[in-house]
Amino acid sequence: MKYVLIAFCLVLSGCWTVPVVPDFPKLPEQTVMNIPCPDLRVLKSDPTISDISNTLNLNYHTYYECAVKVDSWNKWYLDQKALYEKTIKK
Amino acid sequence: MPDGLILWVTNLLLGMGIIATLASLVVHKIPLLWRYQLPVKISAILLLVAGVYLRGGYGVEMAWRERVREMELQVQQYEQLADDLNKKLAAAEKNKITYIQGRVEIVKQYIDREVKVYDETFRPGGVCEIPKEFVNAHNQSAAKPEAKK
Repeated sequence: MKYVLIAFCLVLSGCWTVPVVPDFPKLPEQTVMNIPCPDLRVLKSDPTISDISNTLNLNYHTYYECAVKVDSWNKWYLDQKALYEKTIKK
Repeated sequence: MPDGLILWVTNLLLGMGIIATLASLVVHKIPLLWRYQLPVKISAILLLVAGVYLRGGYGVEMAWRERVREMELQVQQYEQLADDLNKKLAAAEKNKITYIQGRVEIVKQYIDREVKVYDETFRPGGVCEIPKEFVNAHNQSAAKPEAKK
């Protein structure tokens, strides 16, 4: 009888995993990060000098807007990773 | 199931198991019951084993619930901090985009005011015609690169 009791006591412990996991981090609500970068503008045939300047201006603007999106993605990833490691994986 | 109820049931079962086991040790001395000593002993052992098992299970269950509570708290804290970071990121992004859009408008006004006056000079057939090769070179640079798959 005592051996049966000892055997049962030994098997009482078990392995458990906690079924609580955070959701995948969300993007900010008001963001342009998820809008794809547009194509650059090309010049129409026989452009004037102001057409060229305007097209260059818009293309540079497009580049800088797209750079903001890429930088935001990088910052978002690094921030969320650091936060996850600090609060969940500690 | 509430923690208190689980504890109460497991303790009751364990207590009954202990009492029954102790009683089974002396059952053979009772004149009318000595014939049933074997089934009584088996039942008592089973009751005791079930009680011990469930009491151990209760400990594990409570440790598990405590861990779940901790994790839920951590997740809640994490989600709140992630939300704060997202708000900061969205605000910074909005500032930069607004600044870029403002700047493009300023440059556009400058072009309309200062560069447009040279349109005639650089028109096709004008004094300084813009070569088509220049336009082609620009358009090739601006075209979306399509890498071969």
